[in-house]
Amino acid sequence: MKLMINNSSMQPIYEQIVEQIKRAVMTGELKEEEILPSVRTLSKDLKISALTAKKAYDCLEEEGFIITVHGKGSFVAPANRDLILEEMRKQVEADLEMAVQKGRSCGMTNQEIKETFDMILEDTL
Amino acid sequence: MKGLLIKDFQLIFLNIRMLVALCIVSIFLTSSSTSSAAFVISYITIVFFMFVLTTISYDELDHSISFLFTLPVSRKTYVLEKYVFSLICGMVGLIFSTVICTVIGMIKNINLIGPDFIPVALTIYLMLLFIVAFMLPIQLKFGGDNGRIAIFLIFGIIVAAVYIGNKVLEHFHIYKADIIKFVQSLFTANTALIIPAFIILVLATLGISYGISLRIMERRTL
Amino acid sequence: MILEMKNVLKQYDNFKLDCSLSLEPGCVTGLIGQNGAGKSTTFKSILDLVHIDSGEINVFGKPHTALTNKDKQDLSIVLSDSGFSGYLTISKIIPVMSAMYDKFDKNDFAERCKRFGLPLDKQIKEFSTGMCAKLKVLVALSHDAKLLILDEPTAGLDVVARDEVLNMLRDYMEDESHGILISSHISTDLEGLCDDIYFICDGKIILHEDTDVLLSDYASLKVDEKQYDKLDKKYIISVLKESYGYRCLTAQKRFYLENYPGIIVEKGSIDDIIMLKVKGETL
Repeated sequence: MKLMINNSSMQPIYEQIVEQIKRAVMTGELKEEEILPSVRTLSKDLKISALTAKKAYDCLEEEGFIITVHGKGSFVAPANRDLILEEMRKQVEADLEMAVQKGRSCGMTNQEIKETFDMILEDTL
Repeated sequence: MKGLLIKDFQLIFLNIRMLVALCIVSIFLTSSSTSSAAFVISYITIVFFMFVLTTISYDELDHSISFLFTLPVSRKTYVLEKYVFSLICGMVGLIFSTVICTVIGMIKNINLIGPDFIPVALTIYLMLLFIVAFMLPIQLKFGGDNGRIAIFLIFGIIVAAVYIGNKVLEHFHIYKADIIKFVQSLFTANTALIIPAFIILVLATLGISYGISLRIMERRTL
Repeated sequence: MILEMKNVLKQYDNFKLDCSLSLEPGCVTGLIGQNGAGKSTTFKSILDLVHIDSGEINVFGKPHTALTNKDKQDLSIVLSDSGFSGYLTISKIIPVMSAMYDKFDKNDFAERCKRFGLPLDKQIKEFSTGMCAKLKVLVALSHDAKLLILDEPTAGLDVVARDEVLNMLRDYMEDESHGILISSHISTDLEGLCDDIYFICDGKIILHEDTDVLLSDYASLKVDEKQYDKLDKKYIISVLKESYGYRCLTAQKRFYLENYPGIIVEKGSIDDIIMLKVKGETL
């Protein structure tokens, strides 16, 4: 699994890691029970602080994507369909939010945005 | 302390050419019949004793002394090592010059070294130790080049004081010859007492010198 | 805690150091500041090279003046302006190190020197700046120390050499019982290594923050006069007047990103933070 960090992105580094690992789990690139690099190794490879790497892992564990066994390391949690679906829903929501913001910043009104949305829904039926 | 000793010996051996020149000079000196063994041995031994001053100069260079104290070295260890180093060097100088004299003596078939040599050698060693006890705190306080100037000045002052003292005493009709006779009589009269007393004096001076050096180093900011 | 400095005060003629900081095992803590801000003084005071006027410094739980030579074996300091006497060579310092440190690994050290292209029999004074810096770090890493205190270890190094040195430090941190306190004024070095950073200016600690918070939540905003007037200054820490208007430092990047979509928001970099805190007006 190759993680890549964009240092000049507005998105915090730990979030980027969380996102990329989640995606890898959902697409099956990371298999169930597969062992993840240790916090130290990750921080070394990505050239980030160990605290950031730890934050990413803590976040992933909280959301149920990975399990950390003290002394052994971190593993991908067994597949949880609901979790994955919920995650995908969250991403859709985020994408929509971004579209709305973009619309607003180029001067579209809420009404215009809604109209555009309805139009797309119909077109892609 | 062992690490510091290794470092200091390595620094001295850097000047291997100087050491070789020293050997040649000492051989030349002993070969010329006008010099006495005692003079040559004193000269070479004091030069060896002075090596410790060179190591202090090296430490001062480029602030490497600050670095030294980041190693497992306390100020006490540093000071103690300088004294131990000078004692070792002095002893080596003493033995080396004695050997040279003996060898030259054998070649020239003159016995430069008398049967009472050991007490004479030890006396020379102790007297030079006495001088070192003065030099070390000065060098540690003033460091490097300033230290050498300070030593010259102090010795200059002592020599001047002795000279003036002599003149003053002469004024009061006490002559140099009388003083020497008096000191000699002390020596011959109570040899049994004089030698231990002398040893104690030198050791005491060394002890005081060590204490002063320690206090100088404790106060220093690096 | 492997290192703790509490209210350490040191007064010089025209400079006063007043600082408190701490370091936990498994952490890399950075200290950043301008030249003359007090970084070297802070480091030298930890080992009592400089006597402090008041305050407490505890290393491995012991007061710093009570450290024995044995304790010092677990400690390594790299100072920016001094090292072994320049007249010695690496092969000469190896026996010195062996005699001083029980855990000095001679073969590993020689091997690493070779790997980094450091000649064993050349006098140190003939080394380039990069070679000297690498040597000092290698010496510091050679005896399994628990705490590394590094004063500008990458100063004067080119980019490639800096990367090599930083990688050495990252490898060192794979052992969770180790800790590093590092100072630099190359902020990118600190951003990629340190877990938290102390900012020091004129002898005082002006900010202490986790690195990832600095990089993710801190931002510098560039606004013109009009935008500045309309700006909610609740989360603005300091402001600097610029030619285009104002540059502001905030620790709540998201607030401004969400509420003021038109203004320029730049990711918080350590350099910006220093400039804004030192030269800016605090609100």
